[in-house]
Amino acid sequence: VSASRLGDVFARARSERRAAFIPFLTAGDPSPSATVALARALDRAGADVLELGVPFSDPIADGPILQRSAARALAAGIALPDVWRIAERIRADTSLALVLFSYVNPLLHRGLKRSAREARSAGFDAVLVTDVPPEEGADIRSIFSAADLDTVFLVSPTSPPSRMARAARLSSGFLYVISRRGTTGVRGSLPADLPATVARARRAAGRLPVAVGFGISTPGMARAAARLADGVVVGSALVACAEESGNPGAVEKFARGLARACRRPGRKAPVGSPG
Amino acid sequence: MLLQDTAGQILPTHSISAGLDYPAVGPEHAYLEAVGRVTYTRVSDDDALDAFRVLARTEGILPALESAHAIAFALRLACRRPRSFRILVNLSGRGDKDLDIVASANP
Repeated sequence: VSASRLGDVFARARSERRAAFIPFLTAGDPSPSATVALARALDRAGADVLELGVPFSDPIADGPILQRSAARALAAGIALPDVWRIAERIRADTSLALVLFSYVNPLLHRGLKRSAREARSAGFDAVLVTDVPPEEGADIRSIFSAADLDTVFLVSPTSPPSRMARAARLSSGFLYVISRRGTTGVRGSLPADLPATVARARRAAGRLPVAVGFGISTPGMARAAARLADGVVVGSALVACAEESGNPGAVEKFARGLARACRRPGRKAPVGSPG
Repeated sequence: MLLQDTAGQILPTHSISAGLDYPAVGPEHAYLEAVGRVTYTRVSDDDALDAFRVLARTEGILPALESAHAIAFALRLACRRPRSFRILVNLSGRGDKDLDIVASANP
C-alpha cells in the first residue's frame, strides 16, 4: 500500500507543505472526450488526484449540480465500460492518481470482483463507494484490495468515534471527511465545527492521510481546509464552472487558484511544484 | 431487490398506489422471497380499483389502495378454490386517503 500512487501523492504533498488537491468530475458529462479534456486541464492546473464519478440514477449524496451532471452523463448513455475507457485515456494523458467514485449498485450489478479487476486494468488507483457504510464495507475492502486498489471510506460530523475508527480500518490511501451534514453542493463558508471534525477523524486515521470535501467552493475555503487536512476535494464548484463555461480553459484557471490555495503559508513551496 | 436496468441504474416506476410506486422492496421482503417462504405476485391498477369498489359495496370498508391490491388477488384466488377455503387478507391501511384517486379513475 505504501507503494501506491495515492501514497506517493500524499507523501509528495506533505514534503511540499501543501494539501493534495483532489477535484471531482462526473465521467462522461457531457461526453467522454469532454471529461478527458477537463481532466487534462485539471492536471495542468496542479491537481494531484482525480475522483472520477460513475453517473447514477439515484445520487442520494449529491446536491443539484452533481445531480444534473449525472443526468447529463446518463443521457449520453454512459455506463461502466465507458468509465473504464475514459479512465484509460486520463491515465495515459495525465499523472493524476485516479479514484473510482461510485454508488454501489452499478458495481454490484456488474459484479464487485469484475468491477474491481476492470477498474484496476483501466488505471484506477482507488475506489470510493458513496453509499456503503463502514458496517457493510468488508466486501468492498477485501475485493478491491485484492485487485490492488486502495479503498476510501467516508466519515462525517455525525460519525461517533467507533464508526470513524471502523471507516479508517477499512480505508487505505486516505480517509474522506465529509465536512458537513447534507449533500454535495456549492456553499458560502466552511462549517464552524470543521476543525473539530477533522481532528476527530485524524485521531481515528492515525497515519492515514485525511481529505476533506463537500461544499468546498472557493480558493478561500480551500485555503482554510488545507490547513486542517492532507487533501482538499472540490466537486460541485468545478462541475458548475464546466457547466457554465463549457470550456476547459475556464476550468483550468479556476482550478489553478484552488491548487494554489492548497499550499500552506510559512515557507515557499519547492521550485517545480505543481501550480 | 431493485427495479433496474442492465447497467444497475434504477428505473422509473408507476403504480396507482403511492405506497407501491417505488423501485425497491425492503430487506425483509427480499429475504422472505429469497428463502421461498413467501410468493410475491402482482395485480393491475384496474384490478386494484375494482377490488376497492367490491370491498366498499360488500363490507362498507374502504381499503387503502395498497391493501386493495391484496383484495384483488384474494378475489382471483377465491375463484379457483372451494367455498370452504379460507383466505386471510391484511388491510394495512385505510382508503379515505385515496378517495381522490379512486374518484378520478374511470369506474
